[in-house]
Amino acid sequence: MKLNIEGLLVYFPYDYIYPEQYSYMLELKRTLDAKGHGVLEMPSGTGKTISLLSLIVAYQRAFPLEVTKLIYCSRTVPEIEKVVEELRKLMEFYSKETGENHNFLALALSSRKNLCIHPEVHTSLRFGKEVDGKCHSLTASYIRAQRHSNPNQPECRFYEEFDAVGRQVPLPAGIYNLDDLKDFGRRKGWCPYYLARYSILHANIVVYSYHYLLDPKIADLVSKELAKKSVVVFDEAHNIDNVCIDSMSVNITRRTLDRCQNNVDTLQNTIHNIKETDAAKLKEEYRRLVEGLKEANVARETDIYLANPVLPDEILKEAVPGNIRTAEHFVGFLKRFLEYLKSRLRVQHVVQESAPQFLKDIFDKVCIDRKPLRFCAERLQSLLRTLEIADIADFSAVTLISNFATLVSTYSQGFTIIIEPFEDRTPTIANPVLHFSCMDPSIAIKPVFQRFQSVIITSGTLSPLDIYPRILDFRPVTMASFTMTLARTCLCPLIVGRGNDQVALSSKFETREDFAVIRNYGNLLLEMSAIVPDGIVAFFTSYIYMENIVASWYEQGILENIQRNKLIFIETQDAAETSMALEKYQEACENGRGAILLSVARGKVSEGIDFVHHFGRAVIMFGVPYVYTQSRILKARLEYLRDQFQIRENDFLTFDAMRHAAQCVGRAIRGKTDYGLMIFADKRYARADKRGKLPRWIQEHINDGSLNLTVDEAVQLSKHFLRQMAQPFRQEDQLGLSLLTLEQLESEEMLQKITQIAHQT
Amino acid sequence: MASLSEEVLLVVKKVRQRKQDGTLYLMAERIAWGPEGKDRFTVSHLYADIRCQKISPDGKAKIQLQLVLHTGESTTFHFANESSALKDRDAAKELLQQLLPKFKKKANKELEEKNRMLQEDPVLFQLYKDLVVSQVISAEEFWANRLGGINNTDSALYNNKQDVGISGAFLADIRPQTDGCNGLRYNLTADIIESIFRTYPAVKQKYSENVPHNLTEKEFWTRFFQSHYFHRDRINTGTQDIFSECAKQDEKGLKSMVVQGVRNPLVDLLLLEDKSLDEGYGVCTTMPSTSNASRTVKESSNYAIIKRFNHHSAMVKSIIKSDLLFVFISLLTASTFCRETLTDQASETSSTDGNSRDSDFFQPPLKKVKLQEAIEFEDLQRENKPKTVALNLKKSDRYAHGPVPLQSQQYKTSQDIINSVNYIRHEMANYKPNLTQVLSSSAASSAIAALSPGGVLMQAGAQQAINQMVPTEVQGELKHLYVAAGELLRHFWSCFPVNTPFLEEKVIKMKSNLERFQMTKLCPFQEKIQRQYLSANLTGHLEEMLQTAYNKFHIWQTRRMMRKT
Repeated sequence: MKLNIEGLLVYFPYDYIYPEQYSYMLELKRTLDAKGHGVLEMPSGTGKTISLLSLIVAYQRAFPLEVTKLIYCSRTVPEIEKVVEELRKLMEFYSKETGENHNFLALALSSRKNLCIHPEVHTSLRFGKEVDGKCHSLTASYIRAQRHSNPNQPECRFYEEFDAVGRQVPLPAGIYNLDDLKDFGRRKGWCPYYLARYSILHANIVVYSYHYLLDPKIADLVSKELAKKSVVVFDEAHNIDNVCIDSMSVNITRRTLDRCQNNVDTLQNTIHNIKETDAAKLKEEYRRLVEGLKEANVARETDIYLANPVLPDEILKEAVPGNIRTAEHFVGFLKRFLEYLKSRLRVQHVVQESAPQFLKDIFDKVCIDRKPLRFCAERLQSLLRTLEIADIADFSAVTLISNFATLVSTYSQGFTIIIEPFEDRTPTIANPVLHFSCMDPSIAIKPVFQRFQSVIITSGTLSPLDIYPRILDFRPVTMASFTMTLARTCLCPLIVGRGNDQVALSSKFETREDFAVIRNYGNLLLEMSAIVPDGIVAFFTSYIYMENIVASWYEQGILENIQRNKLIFIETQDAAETSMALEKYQEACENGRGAILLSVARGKVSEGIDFVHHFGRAVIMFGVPYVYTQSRILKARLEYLRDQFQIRENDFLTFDAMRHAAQCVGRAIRGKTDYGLMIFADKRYARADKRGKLPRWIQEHINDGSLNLTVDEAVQLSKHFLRQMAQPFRQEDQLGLSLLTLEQLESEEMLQKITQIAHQT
Repeated sequence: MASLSEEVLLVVKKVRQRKQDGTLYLMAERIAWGPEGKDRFTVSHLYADIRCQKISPDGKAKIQLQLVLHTGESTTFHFANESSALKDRDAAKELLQQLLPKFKKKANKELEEKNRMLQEDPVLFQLYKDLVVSQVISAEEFWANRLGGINNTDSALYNNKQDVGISGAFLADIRPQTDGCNGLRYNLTADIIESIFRTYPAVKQKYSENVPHNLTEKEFWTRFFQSHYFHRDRINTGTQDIFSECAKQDEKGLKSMVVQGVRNPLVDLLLLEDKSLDEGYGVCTTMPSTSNASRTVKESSNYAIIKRFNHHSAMVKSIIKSDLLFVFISLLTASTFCRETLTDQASETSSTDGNSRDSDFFQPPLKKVKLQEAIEFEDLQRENKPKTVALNLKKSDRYAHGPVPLQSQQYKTSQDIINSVNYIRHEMANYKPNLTQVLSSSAASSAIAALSPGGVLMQAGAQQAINQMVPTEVQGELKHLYVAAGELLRHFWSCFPVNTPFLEEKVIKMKSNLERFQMTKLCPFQEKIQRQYLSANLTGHLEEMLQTAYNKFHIWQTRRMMRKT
C-alpha cells in the first residue's frame, strides 16, 4: 500500500498495516525532519524493521540531498541478513508499483569469515581471527610487493582481480545480501569482502554490525569515510551501552604479558636482522612515519573523518616524540613498559586507581612520560608495517598492550584500572588480571552522535526510555514507546511468587541454595511441562545457578518426571554444543514430542535466538537476572554512573536486570499471530519498581490478579489462556483493530487512536 | 529312539510333564523327556529350537521350568522330587543357561532365514543362481541388501509397522524398589532394555561383548545399575568398570554430533556473532574464566549431568527420525523408477542432513527459506493464496519427514476440480455434432483401414506380442535376465547419494558387477538370439538401463574428481 506520512509518500510492501507501524513511521519522520536523534521502543514482532526501511527509503527518494545514506546496524549475522531480505522485499514492491527499475544499491557487510570465497581459506578455517590472519598474509601490501620479485609467493587471486579492475566500475544497483555478494564475487572472480568494503562508500543502504561503527579499531578501517548526511539506525539496541564499553576496555593477564614478551623479543631480533641487511629500510620508515601522520592530518581537515579514540585529535598536530622515533628506541620503550606492567601484576592485594594515578605511578617508577605512551599504538602499527610482519594475529598481545597504553594516556575520565591478584572464588590460586575498564559508554558512541545527522536507537525493549539518553549522553528529539495493539491478548505475563506450600520464590542471594525454593521451581517447570504444548524455554540468572539447580532437580527426581512430558535440552558454555542442543530442541518441537530448553539470561541464546510459535509457547524466567554485583568493575561503574549521571546504583541494577528479563520473555512473542506465556518466577517482580521497568507492551497485560500467584494458580490461568489461544485466529478477527487496510487507516477515528499508541516521554 | 551315542549331560528323575511322571534328559544337542517306565521320549527339543527358558518364582509351591520355543510353543516341566526339587531345577536351569547360547548363534539363524527365503521365493532363488552362483556378485553382497531390506523396509512398508519411539523418561521408569533388606531391585522389561540399547548403543555393544561369555545377563544389568555410568558422577569412573568405555563413547558421540554442526543457520550460535572482540578486549562481567582446570569437582559433575541430558534427549529424539529417514530413502531408491530427479532430491536431503562440512553448496536454499520464514508477516498480506487443500494422507510419516519444500506449489482445491468437472459435463450435455463438417465416409473408412494392423500406417509398428514371436525358453531367459539386472541396478542405485566411504567403495564395486553382468550374461544372450535370428532389440531396454547407470556413475566420478582437486 501507499501511505501518506505527513506529506511523504511511503511505499509499504504489504496490503495491511499495523496501527503501531504507522505511528512508528510518524515519529521516525519527525526525527528525520528535525535532523536529530531518536529513541523508539516498539515490541518485537510488530514489523519494526520494515517500517524503518520503508520510511527511510521513501525519505531518501524524496530528499536525496538531505539523507544520502542509511547505515543500519544490527547485532547478529542472521539479523543482518533478515534486514537485507526485508529490504529486498521492499525494493521489489517499489519496482512493481512504479514500474521502473530503482537505482538503488544496498548491501550487507560482514567479517571476512562470512564473506571469504578463497577456497583454501574459507573451508579450512572456522574462526574469524584465523581467516583474518590468513587473508592478511595473502593480501598485505608488502606481500604483494614482494610478489613482483618472487612470483611463487602465494596470492589471493580474488583480491588481485578486484584490485585490478574491481574499483573501476561501481557495483551495479541492487540488493546484496552476504550470499549475493559471494555469488557476485565468484562470478566476477573478485573478493566479496573488499568489494563490499569499497562499495559501502557509494551504497544507499549499508547493513552491518555495531562493531563497524562503535569499535574504534574497526571503525577506523571501515567506516571512516561514510558521509555525514547519513541516518544511522541501531536496531536491538537495548545492549548498546555494553557494546560501547566492551569496545574500549582491555584486560591484561600474565599470559598476555608472557606472549607480549615473546613478541617484543621477535621484534628486536627482526630489527637486528634488518639492520644488518637493510638499514635503509628503517631510515625510510623513520621518514615515512612522520609523513604518514602528516597525511592523516591533512585528511582530517576535510572534516568527514570519524574521530578515533585510539588516535585522538591532538596527537596529529605533534610530531612523534623523539624517544620512540627509532625502532630500537621504541622496542626498548616497550620493554620498559612491559616490565612495569609485570611488576604491577605482582601485587598481593586488589588495587584500584584512575588513569592519572596510573600515569603518575608509571612516571615515578620507570620514567615513562604520558606523551610517548599516547603514540604507542600508532608507532607499533608503523613498525609492524615496516618490518613486514605478515601474521598480525601473532602480535595480538603486543598490539593489545600498546592500545592499552594509548587509551590509558588519552582518557583521564571515564576509565578505571583494577588489578586483581586472584579470582574471588579461588583466593589461593594466583591469577593476576589488570582490568582497564571503560565505565562511560558515551565515549565510544560520541563520535557517532557528533558526526551523523540522525541516529535512531530502537529495540523491542528499551524501557525505561529516559535512561538511554542519560548513559549515552545525547539529546534525542523524539523518545517514544509504542504498544502492541492486539485483537486478542496473545501474551500472558504471570508473576509466580509462591510455591504451593506458600514458600516465597526468589533467586535472591539468601535463598538461592534453599531446597524449598529449588523444589518449588522444579515443581513449576514440571506442572508447566504437563500443560504447555510443544516448546518451553526456561531462563536462569546465571550458568552456575542453572548448573546447581539442574543438579538438585536431578537428585530430587524432578527432571525424571519432566522427561515424561518433554525432552530436556540445556544450554552450555560451549557454543557448538549449545547450537546442537538448540537444533535438536527445535526438531523435537517440530515433530510433536515437545521439549524444554534450559537456558541462561545474558547468554547467547537469550540474545540471539527467537522462539517463534510452537518453538516457545511458554517462557519461564527463574529469578531476576541481576548482574553479578560483587564484581569490582561493576562497582566502579555504578559509582561512576552515580557521580556523573546521577543514576542511583539500585536503579541501574534493576534497569539492567529488567531489560534482560524482558529480552528473555520477549523471545517467545514474535508477532500478533503468535502467542505465549511469560512466567516471571520470582516474588520480586511483583514490586512496582521492578514491574515499572518492564516495557509498556508487557506491563499493560499484567493485572493485579496475576501478581503474586502460587504455582497451582498459575497453572490454572495458563490452562485457560492456552485453550483460548488454541482456537483458530483469522485475519478478519484482527482487521480494524490491530490490522488496518488503507481506508481504515485514513479514517478520522483511527488516526485519533493512533496518536495514543505512541507514548511520549 | 534314544540313540546311545548321544552324550547325556544330566538326568533328572521325578519330573512331571502334563501330569505324568517321568525323567528329564539333557543331552549334547537336545533336551528330552520320557514318561516313567517307557523307553521313548515323548518330548524332545533341539536346543537350537528353544528361544528361552522360564522358571517359577522362588516362593511358589510348584517348582517348574518352562521352555519357550521359537515357534511359540512352550513346554512346562514340574520338578516333583520333594527333597531336591529346587536343586534339580536349578541344576537343569544352569546347564540350559550354558547350553542355549551356544546354539543361539546368530549366524545359524541367519543361514536358516536365508534358506527359508530362498525356498519360499523361487524368483529370489533364480536370482541367487544367476548372480551368486555365476559369481557376478558375492553372496555377501547379495544378502547384505536383501536381509536388511527384508527386515526393515519391507516390514515397514508393507506391514505398515512403524518403529515406536522411546519415552524420554524410560530410565526414570526403572524405579528401584527396596527388597526389605538393604538391597535394591530394578525391574527391567524387554521394552526398557530395548530402549536402553537404542539410546545408548555403547551399552548394547558392551552387552554383546560380555554377555554371556563373561557375565550372565543378570550380572550385566546389576553392574549397569551399580556403575557410575548409570549414575551421574561419571567423571569418577574407575578403570575396572566395564562401562567407563561407554561414557567415553557417548562423549565421542556427542562430540561428533557437535562437530557435524547444525543445518539451520539461524540457530548456529557460532555464526551469530559478526565480529567478536579480540582476546583481551572487553569487560568480563560474567564469571571469570571457568576453564576446566579451575572447576571444582562438584561443578564438573554438574556439567556432566547437563551434557548427559543433552545427549540423552538428542539420542531419544534422533531414534525415530533416523529410522524414518532410512525408510524414506530406501523408498525412493527401491521404487523401480530411479529417475534422476528423485535421486538428486534424495541426495540433497541426505547431504544437508549428514555432512554439513561441505554443505556449502546446499546451504543457501535452506538458509533462504529460513530467512524468508523469519521475515514473513502472514497477517499483513492479503490472503490471496489461502485456498488450502486438506491433505488426505495415507502415510503421514512420509509427509512429515519428507524433504524440505523449497517453494510452495499451487494446488487445486477439490472445489476447483468439482467446478471443472461440472463445466465439462455441461459442455458435454450441450454438445451438438456438427455434421456438415465431418469427413466423408469413404475417407473415414480408408483412414481406418490405414490404421488397422497391416494398413499403410501400421507397418512400422507391426508389433506382435512378444509371446508370439519368441520361443518360451528365450522368454524365460529374458525374464531372468531382467530380474537379475534389476537386482544389480537396485544395488547400484541404492548407493546414491554416495556420502560415506563405504558407499563409495560399494558403488565402484557395483559398477564393475554391472559390467561383468553385461559381459557374462547379457552378451551371450544377445549372441544367442542373433543366432536364432530374432530381433536384436529384445535386449535394447536392458542395455539402456545399464547405460543410464554407467552415465550416472561417470557423472558421479567426475564430480568426485573435481571435488578432490
